[in-house]
Amino acid sequence: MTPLLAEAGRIQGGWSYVWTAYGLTWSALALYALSLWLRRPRKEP
Amino acid sequence: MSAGRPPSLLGATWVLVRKDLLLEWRTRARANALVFFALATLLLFSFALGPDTTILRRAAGGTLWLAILLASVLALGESFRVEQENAALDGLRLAPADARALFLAKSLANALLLMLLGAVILPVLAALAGVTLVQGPGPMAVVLVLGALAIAGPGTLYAAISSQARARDVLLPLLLFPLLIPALVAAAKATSLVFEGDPMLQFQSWLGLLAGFDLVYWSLGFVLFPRVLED
Amino acid sequence: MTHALFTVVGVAVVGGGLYALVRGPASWRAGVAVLALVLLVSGAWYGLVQAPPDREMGNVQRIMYVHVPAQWMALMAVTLNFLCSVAYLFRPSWPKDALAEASAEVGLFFGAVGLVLGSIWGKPTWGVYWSWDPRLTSEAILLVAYAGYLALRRFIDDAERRAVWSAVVGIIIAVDIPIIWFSVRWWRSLHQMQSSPSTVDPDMVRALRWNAFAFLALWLVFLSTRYLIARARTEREMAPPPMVAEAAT
Repeated sequence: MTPLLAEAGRIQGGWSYVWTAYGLTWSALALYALSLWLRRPRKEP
Repeated sequence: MSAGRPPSLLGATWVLVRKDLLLEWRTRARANALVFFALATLLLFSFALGPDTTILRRAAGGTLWLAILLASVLALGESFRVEQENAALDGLRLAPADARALFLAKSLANALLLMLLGAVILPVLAALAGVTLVQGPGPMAVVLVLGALAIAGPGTLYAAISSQARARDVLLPLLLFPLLIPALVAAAKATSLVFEGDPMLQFQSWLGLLAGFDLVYWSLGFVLFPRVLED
Repeated sequence: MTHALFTVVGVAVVGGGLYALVRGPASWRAGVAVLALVLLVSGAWYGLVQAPPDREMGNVQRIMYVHVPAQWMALMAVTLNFLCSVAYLFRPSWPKDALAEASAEVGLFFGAVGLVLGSIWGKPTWGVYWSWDPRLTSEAILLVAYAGYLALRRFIDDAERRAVWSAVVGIIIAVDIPIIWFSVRWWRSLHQMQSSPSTVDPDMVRALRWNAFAFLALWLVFLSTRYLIARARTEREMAPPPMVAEAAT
């Protein structure tokens, strides 16, 4: 198979989807961590 | 029933079913309201989907079961609300009857109500959507029975829980709808096949799925219901 | 045989880690969180830079390195929820109830992340964000079901009733998983076939593995923290009101 043909069936580009996916994952993880921290059990005074 | 001995499971179930059906009969206005609610839903679906009869005909199976499902939430909630009045549920709990009998009786009464509802709104749907029972009334009756059992079994269990929680009107559909999706898919598909004929012979598979769902959730409800009522 | 051994060791390590994080000082949880962060950064490096683009899917395939670990964590959390629910009904105890609550929420979180990533991946691959693929559809249904479970927990004030009823609901939802799966698969079908690791570039395996361990570390931290929150709440509910406590001393 020539390199050109190998390239033909492949989805081109798509980095925007990759960045969106990773960015979303990281911000979701950070937000959930923040929500857990805000709900942390505190000793009653 | 001999005095002093607790009634058998089936005996207690029979007594409780008769009690529920009698209650339903004496408050016919409620059952009537349920039927009109389901009919209103059918009309709303017809208006939402537009006057194109081909679309209405293809959606008829799903429409029927959505109307029954939406009405069932009201019926299920009501079936435990009446027990809360005058603390009737506490009375039932004190009676020397198995809590499992209460589950069987409530579910059976709710299932009968839903079957009746389905049978009443079916002709109206047939007229609105222009469908006929291509497969005949037998298969349709089987689907109606199995589908009503599928909604009533887990629905009764969830209604018992949500009737004693805050925000019960929101909670019951929130718990029940995702659980019933397999049953809804199977019942709607099977009904469509009754309306439109079954060239690929898929009817049996959907019926099997529905029957499996019934078996699993009626057994699970039978086992778990006593835990829901305890304390 | 090695598979079974691997599973047993894995379950023991994860279970032991969870126990240690719940019982140990807060600094341990902070330590694992830092470890998770390091793993996540290196996982991103392997996934975004080191691993080659896929032969058919090109760079889009890199989403897999976070999508699949998120789904695994959701699956683990849901399994844990089911086990805790069953265990609670057999022998009630507050830790089981708190762990059930924590696992439902953490499972809902990872499941939601995995679902969103799956649909982002679907856009360039299938051309639409939502193709009614059986796996993602089943997952969406389950997420709604577990949202209902968590709502139920919030709407019941009595701690004991909440524990019993949510255990019942947890079992009912878990039993529905295979039924939903079959019904949705019959209803419609098209999903990416899983590829076995033997046919995959070692760089790809490494990227997936690092991200999986990063997610596992986060899973442990989230779960243990959420568990402690749930425990603190039940304890507060069970504590006598301040006036009674004062009178007793």
